[in-house]
Amino acid sequence: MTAAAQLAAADFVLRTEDVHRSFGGLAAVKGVSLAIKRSSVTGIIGPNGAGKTTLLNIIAGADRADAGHVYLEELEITPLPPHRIARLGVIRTFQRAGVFPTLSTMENVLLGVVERRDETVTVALQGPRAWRRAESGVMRAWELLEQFGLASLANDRAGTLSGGQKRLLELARAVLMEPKVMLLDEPMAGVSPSLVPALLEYLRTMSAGGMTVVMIEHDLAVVEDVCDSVVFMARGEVMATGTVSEVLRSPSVQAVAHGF
Amino acid sequence: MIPEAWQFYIATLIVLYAVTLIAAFGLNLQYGVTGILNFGYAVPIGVGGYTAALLTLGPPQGRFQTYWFGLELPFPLPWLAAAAMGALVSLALGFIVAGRLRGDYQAIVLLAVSVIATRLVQVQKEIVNGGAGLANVPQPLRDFVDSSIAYQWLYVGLAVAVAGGTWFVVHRISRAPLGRALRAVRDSPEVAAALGKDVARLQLLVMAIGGAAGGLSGAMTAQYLTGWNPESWLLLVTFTYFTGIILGGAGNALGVAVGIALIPIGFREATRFLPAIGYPGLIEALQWVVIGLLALLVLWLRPAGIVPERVVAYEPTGRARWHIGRRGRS
Repeated sequence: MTAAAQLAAADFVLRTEDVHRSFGGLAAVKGVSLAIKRSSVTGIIGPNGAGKTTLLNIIAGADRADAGHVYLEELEITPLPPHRIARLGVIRTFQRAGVFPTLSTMENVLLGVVERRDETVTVALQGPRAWRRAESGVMRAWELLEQFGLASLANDRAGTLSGGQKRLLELARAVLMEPKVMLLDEPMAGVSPSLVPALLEYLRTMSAGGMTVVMIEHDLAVVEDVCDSVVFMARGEVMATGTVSEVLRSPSVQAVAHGF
Repeated sequence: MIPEAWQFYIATLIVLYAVTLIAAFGLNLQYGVTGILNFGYAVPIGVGGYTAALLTLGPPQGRFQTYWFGLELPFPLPWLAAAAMGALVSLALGFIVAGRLRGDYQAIVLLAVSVIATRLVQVQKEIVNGGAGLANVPQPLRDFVDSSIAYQWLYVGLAVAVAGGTWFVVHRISRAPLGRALRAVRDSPEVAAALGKDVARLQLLVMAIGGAAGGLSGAMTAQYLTGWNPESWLLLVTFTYFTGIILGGAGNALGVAVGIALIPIGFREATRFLPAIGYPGLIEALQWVVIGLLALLVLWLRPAGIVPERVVAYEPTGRARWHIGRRGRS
């Protein structure tokens, strides 16, 4: 790695270089290069079909790029499977809330905090005492569920929660995992408006504490409120980057907005 | 005093229930807990039966049955070897499907493997005597007991002990943090992977553990019945197990125990006492029709089974208390 590249890696926690992805004849992502600053909140906006979720899937390892590279700090993560990328500290949420419907809300959260070394046959055979030791994060999970308004639902199956509650659960779990990078796919969709300001404040605090957030969001008020920078995507390409007002004033964005 | 014939009958029922339960616990770990629709589960059962037979029959005499090789290993080595072979074969099946194929495609591939395995054994006479199977398989610890009725009860003790041990292992795995990760894989492999769970590794792990249970069950059945052939591990066997697990309550050891008591054991035994109607074999054929209909009805009317899987409840006071809690609304 060159000195310049090392410098870039130090400033930017996540980078994509010329990422391409096609489905049959449809080019979903066309040569996307992004550099996400450490400890920032970046919004990805754009019309439906712009390639936003495909890009997120590629970064998280859930989908493979046809060409291009994705770097987490100095490490290229393009070829890694999703569980390896998650273990490196990149945690994502899903467009349709990614919860485990037959597990309780608390179990869903615990899946994020129990160490991998405790999910073994040896610990399983040791019995309840060892399991409780492995679940030492449960009290912190209670606090977080309280903050997210989910404590009263802790022992209910996640499948019985409303759409908004599932999103909150997914977000609470991601926060609890204290990732380096959090990839959020429309995190505020369906969430009760009264909870949104508190959640955004939570994201700001987490970001100030060193976590980097990349979020796909359709609500421009939310983007304006929380994002330090914005990436506008359309037809698989990055059309503009900058602050929300800069991006919205950009001629290329105006052209897309007016159907050109 | 219970008449000896009845003692035989009761002991046989208990042994068959216990050995079926051992396999069902293994399959439940794969299907009920982890969500692997393993239609090839009969394969490790079959391999376990043949392993125990080959390791106890002694060298081939070349008269009425032909087989690849034979040893005369003492108990419990044949059972342990059968469990190991069941795990290995199951692991091999796992490598074909785990992490590569989604649930329904996994099921189709495993079903195809099961059919191919049965056909191969049926046509290949040199390895384990083809379709006729192996007979005169020695029983374990037979010389320790004089009377055959006492031996029946000895086998009951062995079978119940092994079933209890299998329950212990499978129950602990499914209730521990590992079990939670397995159930996460069942509910959504994509989300589990996004949380750092190695889905393929977890699937392979339960393929191996479940396969060991299947192999053990096959070995115990073969040595109890003193014979083993392709009929003993047909695809239909897998479907009966699935029906029992679904009826009782997948993902839950108690549900499996209830379901297995009702379907492979209870239902089939009950129909044995029906008066003969129609042409010979009609009732037996109808059994399968009724088992299939029952599976459909349960999936339709009560998909969680008689004893549904419960969630673990946590309490917010003091240290986290771990116990089985309310079922949650569903």
